[in-house]
Amino acid sequence: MRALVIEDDSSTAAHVADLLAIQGFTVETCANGLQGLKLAAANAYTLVVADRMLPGLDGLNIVGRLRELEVKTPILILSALGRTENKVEGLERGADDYLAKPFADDEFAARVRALLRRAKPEAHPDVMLIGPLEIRIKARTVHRTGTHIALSPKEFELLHCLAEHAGAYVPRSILLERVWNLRFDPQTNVVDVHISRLRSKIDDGFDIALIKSARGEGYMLEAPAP
Amino acid sequence: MRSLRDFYARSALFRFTLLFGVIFATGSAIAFYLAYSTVSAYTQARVQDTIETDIRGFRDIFTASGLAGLTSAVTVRSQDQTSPRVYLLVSDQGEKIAGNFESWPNNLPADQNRISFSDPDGRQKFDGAATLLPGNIRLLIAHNRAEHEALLAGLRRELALPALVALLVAMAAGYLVSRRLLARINALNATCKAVEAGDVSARATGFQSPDEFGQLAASVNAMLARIAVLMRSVHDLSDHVAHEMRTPLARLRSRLERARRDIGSDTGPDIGRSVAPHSEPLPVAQIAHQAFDGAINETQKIIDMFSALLDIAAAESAAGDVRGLKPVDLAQTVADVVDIYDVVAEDRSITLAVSTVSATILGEPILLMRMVANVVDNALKFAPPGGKVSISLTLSGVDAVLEIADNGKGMAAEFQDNAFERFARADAAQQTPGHGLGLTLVRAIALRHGLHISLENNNPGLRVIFRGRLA
Repeated sequence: MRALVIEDDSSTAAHVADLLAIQGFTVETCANGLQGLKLAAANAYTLVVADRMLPGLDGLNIVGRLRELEVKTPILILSALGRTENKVEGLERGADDYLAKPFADDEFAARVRALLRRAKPEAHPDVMLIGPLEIRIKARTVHRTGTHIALSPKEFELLHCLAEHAGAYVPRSILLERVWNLRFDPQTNVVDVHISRLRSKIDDGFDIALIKSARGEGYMLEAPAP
Repeated sequence: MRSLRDFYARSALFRFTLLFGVIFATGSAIAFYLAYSTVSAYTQARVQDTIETDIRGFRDIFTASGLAGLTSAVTVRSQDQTSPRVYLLVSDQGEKIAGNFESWPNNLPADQNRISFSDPDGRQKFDGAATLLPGNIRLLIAHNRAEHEALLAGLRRELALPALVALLVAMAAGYLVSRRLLARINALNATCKAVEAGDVSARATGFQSPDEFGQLAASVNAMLARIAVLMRSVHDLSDHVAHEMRTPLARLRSRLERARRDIGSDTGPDIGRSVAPHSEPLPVAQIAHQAFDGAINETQKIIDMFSALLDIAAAESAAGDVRGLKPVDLAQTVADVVDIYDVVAEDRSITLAVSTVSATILGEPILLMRMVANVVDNALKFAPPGGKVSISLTLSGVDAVLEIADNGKGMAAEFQDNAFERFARADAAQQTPGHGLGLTLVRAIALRHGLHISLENNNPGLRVIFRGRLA
C-alpha cells in the first residue's frame, strides 16, 4: 500500500506519515501542491492525504483536477478550515473524507480505515461475523450465538458501522456522520445514549461485553479472544 | 503648469465652477444664436415686404400716369440720400431711364421677387426685387445689405454685455453653490480622516438635515457607531477568550508539570496523593499515561471552544447575506432534530412533545438544524427527569413561529438579557457540561437567517421562541 501525503508543514507531514506507516503504508511526502498533483496523477497510490492550504495549488483544486483526470484514488483532506461548511465544500469537490486539524490520531486512523474499506474492489460481504455476533446486512438482522436481537434502524446502523471497524476504536464523529448524517457535534452525547441502548440489547445477559468504550472519544466492537 | 494641473485635479470647487461656466456659456450661446437668426430673418423679411409694396406702388403709378409719371416718381425717390435703397428704371433697350444705380446687373432676371446682386465694383451687396412692366420696361428696387448688417451688428453689441454679465453671474453662482456643497463634503472628509487618525469617537455634523448630504452624514455616523460597537465587542471578546482559554491551558500545563515532577523524582504522584493520601506511588508508565490522557482531554476542550468561536464568527459575519440560502422546511429540521434527540429524552424519562406544520423559510439547512438542536439540547439538559420538553412550529400571518419550551428551573430574568453572550452561563448551569457558547451560536445562526429570537418564562421553565418570515 502506497500513500502520498501532500502537506507543507513538515512536522504535520511527518506525524501523518508515521500514522500511515503504523497502518502498513509506504509513505511519500510532498510539500507543494502542484508537485503533489503530478505525483498523484502519475502514480497508483492507495490513498492521498492532502492539506487544504498549500503552496502551488490548494488541496481542493488538487482533488478537482484529479477527479477531472478520472483518478479515483481515495483522497482525505486535512485542513485547519474545519467548519461544517468547509467540510461539505471539500466533499462536494470530490474528496472522499475531510478531517479538521487538529485531529485525534485515532480518528485519523478510523477514517483511513473506512476509506480503504470503501475503496476495496471486492463486494462487501452480506454477512459479518464478529465473534458470537452474526450481522446480515441486506436482511438487517442480528443474532448473537443464534439468538435474534431486535434492533431499531439506527441501532442497526450503529452496530454495522462498529462492525466495519471491528477491533478498532470508532470516534463519535464518524458514528454521527454515518447514522445521522450529522457533521457537527451535538453538545449532549447523543451517541452515548444510543450506544448504551444498543449495548444493553447486545451484551445484557451475556458474560462477555462486545461493545467497549474506547479511551477518549469513541467505541469499539471487539470479538472476545478465542 | 504642474501646480495648475494639480490644482485642477484636486479642487472639485474649481472644476465645478468651470463646469457651471462652460455649461451656461454653451446654453446661452445656443439661445443667442437662435434669437439672432430669428431677428435677422425677420428684419430681412420686413425689408423685402416693403420693397415688394414699393414695386406694387410704382406699377400703379405706371398704370395711372404712364412712363413719364413713373420716371418722375423713381427720380424723386432716388434723390433721398438718407435711404439705403437703390432704384433703377431701364428701357426695353436696357438703357437707364431713371434711378440711382448705374446699370442693370448682369444676368439679373427681369421679373423676380427675391434677387441679390453686387454693384459693378463688387463692394456693396444688395437684396431686392425686379419687375417687368408693359413695353419691356424693367424696374429694380433693392436694399443695401450693409444697412441690414449694421443693424445686426448693433444687436450683437447690445447683447454682448448682458451675455458676459450672465456668464460671470453663472460662474459666481456655480462657485457659491459648489462651495456650499463641497464644504459639507469636506466636513465629512475631515470626520473620516479624524477616525482614520485614531479618533474613533469623531462624528460627522449636519446629519440633521433631511437632504442627501444629511443622509450621507447620518449613514457615516451610523457606520461609525456600528464599527465602534464591533470594536468594543472584539475587544470584549478577546478579553473573554483570553480569560476562558487560560483555564484549560492552566490545567493542561499543571498536569504536564506535575507529571514531569512525579516522573522525574519518582517519589510518587501528587495526583494519587490528593485522591488517596497514603496510597503506594504509581509506576512511571501509569503516571505518564494519566498525564497524557488528561492533557489530550484539555486540548480537546480548547479545540472545541475554538471551533465554537469560529462557527459563531462565521455565522455572525454572514448575517443579512441572503446568497446561498435555499428554502428549508422547518418542520423537516425539527423532525431531523427529534430523530437525534428522541432517545435522549426517553433515556431521561422526559416527554418530547412535537407538533409542527410545514413552514418554509430561506436558510442553510445544516445551520438551522444546528440551531434547533442546540436549543433542544439545552431544554433536555434543564428539564427535570419525568419532565416535558415541547417543540411547536406554527404559522402566524407571514411568519413561522418555532417554540421550544421546557419545564425546568427556567432562567433568572436578569440572566435572560445576556444569555446569548459568549461564555455566559447561568448559576444553575455551572455544573452542567458545556463551554457557554451554545446559545451564542444559536443567536448568531438566528441573526444569519433574520430570525427574531426571544426568551419567555414558561412557568416553570424556559420558552425559546424563534420568529421568521416565511419564504
